[in-house]
Amino acid sequence: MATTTTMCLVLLYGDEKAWATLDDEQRARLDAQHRDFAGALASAGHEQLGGGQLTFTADAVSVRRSGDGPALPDGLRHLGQRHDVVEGPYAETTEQLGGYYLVRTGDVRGLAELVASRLGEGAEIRPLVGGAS
Amino acid sequence: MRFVVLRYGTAPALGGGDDLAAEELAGADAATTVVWVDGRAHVLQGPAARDAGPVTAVRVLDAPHLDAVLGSLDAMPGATYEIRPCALVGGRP
Repeated sequence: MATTTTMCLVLLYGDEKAWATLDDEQRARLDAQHRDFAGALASAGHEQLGGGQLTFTADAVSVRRSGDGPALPDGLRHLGQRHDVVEGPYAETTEQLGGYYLVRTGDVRGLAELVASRLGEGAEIRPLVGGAS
Repeated sequence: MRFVVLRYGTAPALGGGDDLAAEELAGADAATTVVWVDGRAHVLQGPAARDAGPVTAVRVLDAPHLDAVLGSLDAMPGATYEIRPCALVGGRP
C-alpha cells in the first residue's frame, strides 16, 4: 500500500525582541541549529520543499478591508476603494512569526517531534488544503 | 526582493502566476503545536493561541517593490493580509 504523505507548513514563532538582542555567536548558533534541522529532516524521511526567514514585524505592511477594525493610525493610505494599507503587523502579539518551512511528510507527529527536539522555538504545523497524496 | 504574504480570514484563493509558492492551509483544528515551557518542548494537538487569529494562507513571491505586491492584492478582497519581506541569511530556512 502506498504511503500517504501530507504537505505541511511549519510556522516558527518566538519573541523578536529576544532575537534582536542576540550577539554574533548566538546568531551563528541559531543558524547552525537550522542547518542541523534541515539535515535531520532528510534523515528522518521528511522532504523540505521550501522555507524562509521573515524580517521583523517593524517591516510589515498590513492590508485590510476599508471600515474593518479600529481606527487606523497616521500613515494610512488608500489602495483603490476596497483596502486600507497600514504600516506594521496585522496584530501586536507576544510572539511573532519569524520563519517557516514547507515540508512533505508521511508522519506529521514525527515532524512535530523533530521540530521540538532540534529547534528551540515554538512552532505550529499546519497541513495544506489538497496537500495529501 | 522576496516577500511573504500572510492571509487572515477567508477570501478567494491566494496566488498568482509568478508566485514561488501559494498555499491554502487546512483549518486551525488540524494544527499540531510545539510550545516551550520551562525549557522543555511539548507537542500538542491544535493551534497555538494567537491574538491575531489563525493564518489561513501563505504566499511567497519575488517582486521589485512593495507596491507591486499591494497591487496584486487589490483583486483579492475579503480578508486581511500582512506582507513581510524575507531576510536572506545563510543556513536559515
